Amino acid sequence: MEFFHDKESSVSIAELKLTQDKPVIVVNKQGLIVFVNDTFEKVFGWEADEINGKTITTIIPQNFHDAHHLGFSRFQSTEKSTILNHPLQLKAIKKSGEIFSAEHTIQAEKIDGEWLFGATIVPLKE
Amino acid sequence: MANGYLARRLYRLRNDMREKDTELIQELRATLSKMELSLGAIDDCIIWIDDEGVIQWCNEKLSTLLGRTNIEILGQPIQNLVHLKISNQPINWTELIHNATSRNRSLFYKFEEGANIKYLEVLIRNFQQVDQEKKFIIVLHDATDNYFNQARLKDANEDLQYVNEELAKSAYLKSKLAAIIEFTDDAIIGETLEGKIESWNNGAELLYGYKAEEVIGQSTNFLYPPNKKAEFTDALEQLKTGKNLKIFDTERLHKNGFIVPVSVIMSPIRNRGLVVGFCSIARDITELKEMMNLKNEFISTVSHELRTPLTSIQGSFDLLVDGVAGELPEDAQELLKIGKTNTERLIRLINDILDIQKIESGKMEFHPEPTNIGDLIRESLLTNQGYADQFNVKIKFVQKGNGIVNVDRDKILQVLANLISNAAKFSTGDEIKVFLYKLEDTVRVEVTNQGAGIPKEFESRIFQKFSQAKGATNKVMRGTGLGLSISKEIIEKHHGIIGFKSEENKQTTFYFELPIYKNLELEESINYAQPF
Repeated sequence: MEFFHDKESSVSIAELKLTQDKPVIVVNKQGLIVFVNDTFEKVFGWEADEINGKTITTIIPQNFHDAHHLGFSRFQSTEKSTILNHPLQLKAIKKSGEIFSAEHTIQAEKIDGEWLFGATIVPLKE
Repeated sequence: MANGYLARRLYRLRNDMREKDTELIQELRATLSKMELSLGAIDDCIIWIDDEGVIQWCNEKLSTLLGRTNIEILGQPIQNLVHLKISNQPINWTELIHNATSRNRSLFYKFEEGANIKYLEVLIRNFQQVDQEKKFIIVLHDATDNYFNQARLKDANEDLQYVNEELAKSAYLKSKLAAIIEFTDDAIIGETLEGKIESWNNGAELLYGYKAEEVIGQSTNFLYPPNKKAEFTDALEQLKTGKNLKIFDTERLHKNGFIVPVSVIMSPIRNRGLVVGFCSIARDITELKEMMNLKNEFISTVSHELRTPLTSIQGSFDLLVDGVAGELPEDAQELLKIGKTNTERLIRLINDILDIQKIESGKMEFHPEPTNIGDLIRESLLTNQGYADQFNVKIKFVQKGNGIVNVDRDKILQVLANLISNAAKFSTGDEIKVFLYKLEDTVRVEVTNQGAGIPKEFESRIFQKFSQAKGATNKVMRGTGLGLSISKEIIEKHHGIIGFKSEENKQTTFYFELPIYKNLELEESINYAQPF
């Protein structure tokens, strides 16, 4: 198992899945959503069954799709990223279409040769 | 069973399709990754925005330019992030985006973030994918070097324009000068260092009869009559050293074979301090010469005609003063003396004029013979002491050397008489001194008196004809004003020099030097030091 986050705040994605105090989402190497926690369901308005299998762009506003695709693609071939493991202020979109600002912390982990991405997305109070 | 089979088939099919999708996605991701890396590697900033200017993606160059991370840039309106100025006015991104159709690279936009100043060219392209919102691609090209090069180019252009204007000015001046040279009556010839003709004006064509095309490139030698050939080489030699030739009268040969009397001045032409050629200006003095000859002939005739009766008058006065016609009353004697003195003066004047005429017309004959200059001076002192006595002046001879000179005795005596009588007349002391020195290859004679000296403003004219210093006009012993002029001609005919040095209100020394013909024996030349 290979971790891709800094050691101090290191929690594995398996541990991340147990987190309940903030929305958590896990995406596979193809960018498909494989897990959301209960808090995520409450915040984003999606049922886990509904959203699992959709691409991550489902919760990314249209404006950021290009950046996401390019960045995500680049990471897969270079395995280098500037956005991992530190809080990022990014927009997110709810099932209702409402766009809101949130603090994203994204981490990546290689399990059996396949990348898995986990993120916490905490809405910012405006 | 059948349903179970179908379900398995369906499941497998879906799995196959999913795998195919995944493969495709992976391939596309690989391609996208290459593109992203490529766009990150170029020098320009590439920005994708929507129609409101919100940045949807940018390459790493923009992060570098703005000093912000990708995440800080994404989602921000370009209006808030990229501040450009044109002609000191902030650019209006909204308008720029709105009008984005074609390339707009000719303008320089100033980008300023602290000390980081760049000049950017901005290119905005609008593109719209099927069923998608309008989007724009912006390319910011760093053209700072280009901008400064253009500025430098502009400066260089201005310099060039200035140089061109100056050139035009100097071309105008040149053509003006050329016109002056072309249309003057004087013959102006430009020559190379070797004396080859480079330019030949209209005046030269008129004076010498040759067209410019006949003579350009030739030596000017053909203009010199056989007896003046030496002038050519002498002039070249002197001009090469950078010296001007003083104006002189000479002769040149016309194309048709006749002699043209000319007055010539020649000067070196310099380029950056180096003599590169010569210029000679010649003026036709045929008419002037004819007039001079007429004048001289007239003066000569008149003088001769005057001298004969004047000699008779002088003789008559002499006889009357000597009392041949009996004792005369004192009043009458006084009047006769005045008449006699003035007659003598007139005769001197006429003799001087005739001398000058003879010298100028080349008719004065010289009969040189080897002469001991010391002895000649002694002889002169004997004859002139009487004249000096009138002014209560003693003549003292200080001999410091001697030599044999080849001279016309009478002419040199005339010079000595002139210098001594002048010294006596204008002396304020009671003696005048005559010095004789032997120099390297000349003897030098000096005549010195104490007196008012020669006024500075008169110095340059002192050897000219009919010149006398203003102060002299009041004096009874006024001369003809020709003496020094005659003396100069005589000394120069003997290849000597004549001159003076004067300390105003103190003393004046006139001197001349004559070339030594033969050295005297040593013992003879050193045994003099006694006053006369």
